[in-house]
Amino acid sequence: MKEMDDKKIIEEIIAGNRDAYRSLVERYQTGLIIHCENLLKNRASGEDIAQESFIKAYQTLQKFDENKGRFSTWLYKIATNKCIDELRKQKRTVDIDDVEQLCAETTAPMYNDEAQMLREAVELLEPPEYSRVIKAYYWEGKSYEQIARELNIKSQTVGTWLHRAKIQLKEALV
Amino acid sequence: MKTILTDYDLSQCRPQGLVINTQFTEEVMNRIASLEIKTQLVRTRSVNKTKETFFMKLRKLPLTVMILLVLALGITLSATSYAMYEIFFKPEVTQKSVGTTIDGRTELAFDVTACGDTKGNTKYELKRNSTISANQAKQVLQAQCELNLINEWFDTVTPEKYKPMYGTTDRAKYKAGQTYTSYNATPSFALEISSIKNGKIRTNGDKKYGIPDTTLDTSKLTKYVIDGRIQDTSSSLKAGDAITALTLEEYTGKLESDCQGWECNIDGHPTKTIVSYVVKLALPYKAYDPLAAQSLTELLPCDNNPQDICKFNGGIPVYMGDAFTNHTNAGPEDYYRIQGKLVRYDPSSFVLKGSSGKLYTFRTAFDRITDFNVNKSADYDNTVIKVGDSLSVSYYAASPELATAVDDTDINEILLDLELVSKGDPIKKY
Repeated sequence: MKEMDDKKIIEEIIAGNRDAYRSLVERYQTGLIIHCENLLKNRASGEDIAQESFIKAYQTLQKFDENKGRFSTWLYKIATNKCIDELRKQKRTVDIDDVEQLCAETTAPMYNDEAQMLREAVELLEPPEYSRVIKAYYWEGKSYEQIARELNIKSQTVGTWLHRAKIQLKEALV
Repeated sequence: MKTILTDYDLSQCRPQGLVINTQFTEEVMNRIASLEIKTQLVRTRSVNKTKETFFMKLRKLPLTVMILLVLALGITLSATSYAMYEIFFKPEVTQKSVGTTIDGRTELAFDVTACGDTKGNTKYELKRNSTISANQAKQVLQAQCELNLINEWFDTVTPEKYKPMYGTTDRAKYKAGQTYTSYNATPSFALEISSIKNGKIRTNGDKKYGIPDTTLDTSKLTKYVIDGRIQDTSSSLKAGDAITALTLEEYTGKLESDCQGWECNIDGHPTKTIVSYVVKLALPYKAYDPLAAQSLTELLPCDNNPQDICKFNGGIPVYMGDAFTNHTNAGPEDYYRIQGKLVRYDPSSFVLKGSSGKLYTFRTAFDRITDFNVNKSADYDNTVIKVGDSLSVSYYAASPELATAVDDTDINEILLDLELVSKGDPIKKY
């Protein structure tokens, strides 16, 4: 089944079909939560800010011009600014290198064949637990704590497995 | 393949159709629904709609009329020169009637003649767990209209460079390593002043919403709109007053990569913050309470089923279909919504009765109501759907004639309607 592109969905929303926004939320929520979690170093705050960002994006959707950039980039920029504001409110310093790296990395486009290759690589991870944590964290949007409970391991182990899985994926995709 | 493997790549290669965090999605969609009353501007704006400004209209007038207008304007200005500094945000909200909806709730009808894009006769339903009374509803609606008007005015006084999403820019000339400044304008919600000292306006937060106390650092650049007059001082503001503010921010940083279109990656640290305008609101702070606004639900015609009424109170997902992706070429005229009472259900269909009395039959691949009651109810405090409950269904149909007998593949979503004022409220069926 062909997935509807962002442009078409946005046209529907602006034409009055609010429900169409659900597709964009589903499409980008997992990545955006992780993006905010990485910036704020806190899952719950990351989820809150990701939620605020989706709402802000919806409220200002009429200002979005797809000729000037992709929706995902715009959404991530809104979220990044919100995260920085949040860090300021918490009187926490922002690590410029962190933010720059995350912003630069985040939304470079991925083509269908690349996505397919990556999915196949995830399936082939060894041991299979690495595949499970990648799927749970990146695809199902679960937190370290949720994954840890489901797999009966420590949260720290989830982080270690994710790290090792990503190293394997990078090697597999070179 | 890209050489860098990012979190974004990993999340975006998710297979289609995989179950994700539906609670997150529902919270976003419910909050958007409950904010509708505050964001009517978004709902009614068209993507290609260009607002005709006063000056654009003037350009179309014949020369003689223009000359007369200029003369009249000159006379008016010389007679009352102070008037040009006056600005009022006075919505005109008249309560027309109080009645009862077919669902037994209080129905309030208003005539609204100045409320941003909302005009004419509007009807609202007062929620059962509302934080306001029917008598307070007019004031609450007036408060929301006033905020709408102020936000529209904020748009007009925001310098162009602080509107980064508007217009074309020549940002492509900015290259990696260069210093770049981006701009942002942020209107605040309604705030209640707790104290004013040395140019700092402290405002009370609101524990209900997790809003912390905040301080507006005003400067010589700050203008105050108080009782219709634009002033340079805050001398007539006092603790307890309700205000809203427009803040302009500048972010300066080194570019990580070349700008592409409007997209520039910088570190985003605000290097300059200007409280541009502080507007004293006309009503007591409690009238602007978001929960008060969310206590009112606008009664709207259902999408493409205008004879029936749809209310957006938030709901539990009973079924999320594939209709949206099945209808990639569908236009707004093909998208329908109905809200109604569940009349009956069986393994192959369920029937809803809209507010007009019209029946809508949805043919299903299996008994989706029982499926919810058996398999999903536990996720929602064991809420069970029964005949008589209110459901909302969005779906696609090729014509109005086909909109009352719908196939499973055309169903976008089925929601069990709730009656929520705040997202933290316990689940309560409508």
